[in-house]
Amino acid sequence: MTGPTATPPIDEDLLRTRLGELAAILTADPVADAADEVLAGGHHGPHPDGRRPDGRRRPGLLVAAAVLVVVIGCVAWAARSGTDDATQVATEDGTAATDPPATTTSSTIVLATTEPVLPGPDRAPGPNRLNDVLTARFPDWFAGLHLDPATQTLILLHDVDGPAAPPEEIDALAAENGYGPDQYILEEATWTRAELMAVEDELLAAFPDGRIPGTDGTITAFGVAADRGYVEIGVDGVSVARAAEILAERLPRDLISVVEHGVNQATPSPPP
Amino acid sequence: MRTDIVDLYTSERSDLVSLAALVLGRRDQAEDVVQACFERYGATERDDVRDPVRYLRRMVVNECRRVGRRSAREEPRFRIPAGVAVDSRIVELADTIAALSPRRRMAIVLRYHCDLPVHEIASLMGTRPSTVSSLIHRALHDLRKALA
Repeated sequence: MTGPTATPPIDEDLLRTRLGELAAILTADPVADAADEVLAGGHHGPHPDGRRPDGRRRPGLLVAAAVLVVVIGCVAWAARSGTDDATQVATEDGTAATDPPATTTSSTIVLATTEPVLPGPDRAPGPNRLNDVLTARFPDWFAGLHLDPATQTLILLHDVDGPAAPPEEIDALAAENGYGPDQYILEEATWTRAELMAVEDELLAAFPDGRIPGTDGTITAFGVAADRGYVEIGVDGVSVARAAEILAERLPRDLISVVEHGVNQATPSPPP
Repeated sequence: MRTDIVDLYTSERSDLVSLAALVLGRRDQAEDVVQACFERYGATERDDVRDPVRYLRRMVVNECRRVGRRSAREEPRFRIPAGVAVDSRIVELADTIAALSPRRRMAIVLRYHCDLPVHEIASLMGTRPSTVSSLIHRALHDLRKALA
């Protein structure tokens, strides 16, 4: 009988060293470095005050000084024009008072569904089928969808960087799946389709049929809560606690949040 | 006021460019990111900034996210400058790091290149420390072969 093989710990010091070497390579300027070497007359090592051994300033410092002039000019220009992109964030305890705001503020995205999300080749008309169709038709634009349970409005999320999709085609595909032009809205996703697909790949690998082993439960939705750093997984037919326990055996516990996602919650309104 | 940004630029620019280069894989983008951050930093009310280095680092992290998202479909991610001799082990590491998800790559760079503690990384990335630990753990798993 064989047991699991222990995995040796990674050499963290080696990783630090290699990262440092990679950073030096990525930021190297062969032309400037070669010129510097010639001008320095073959001497190596920094001068205590940053100059060459003969006392002359290094070209790199002159370049930095020139760049600084540009920076200061831009600063003065920005100050005059009142630009203030890096608005300060204040919190009650003041701990974040010096932090610039994060640029990623996506909300939890849950794919609306009335059946297991994984996999879903031939769905009946509805949000899941629309999800599949839009994914296939506009892979670089469509980023997912979710249904606002309060208003039953379908929210189609698109990648802000993707090529625009023709509105009339979106209208037609939405109508085919039971959503008129006033029953869905478009929103920009702040995460990419690729990120969502990566999550889906992991879920598919762990739960290929969307069913939760040992229970009658299924995975009925999932989404990326990018701003909170975890994946939200909707389940049906099993308690959240039990599902979380089983899911955590195959997925990193710290990266998932399991929520109840009953089939009726995502039932779309009837076609107009 | 002018002096403080000059000092900061002189002392921190190189480290910030290294951070951005490891995350974005390109020197030109890294320099642009850092330059943009310094410009924006100069336009803020800096009297309220208690820790300028941390503030700038967070700006760079945020800007790397934005730029990385825009260039996600460009290949190759890591551009070794022409004329620079590179060990094959470094190339393998670069390839492996490039293949990491952006969040895992950011966590690894902040932890092992910037030597920041997990709670500081969580603050910079706007997430929980436990999530950072998971990101690092999984990234190390992916990096294991490249470091063998």
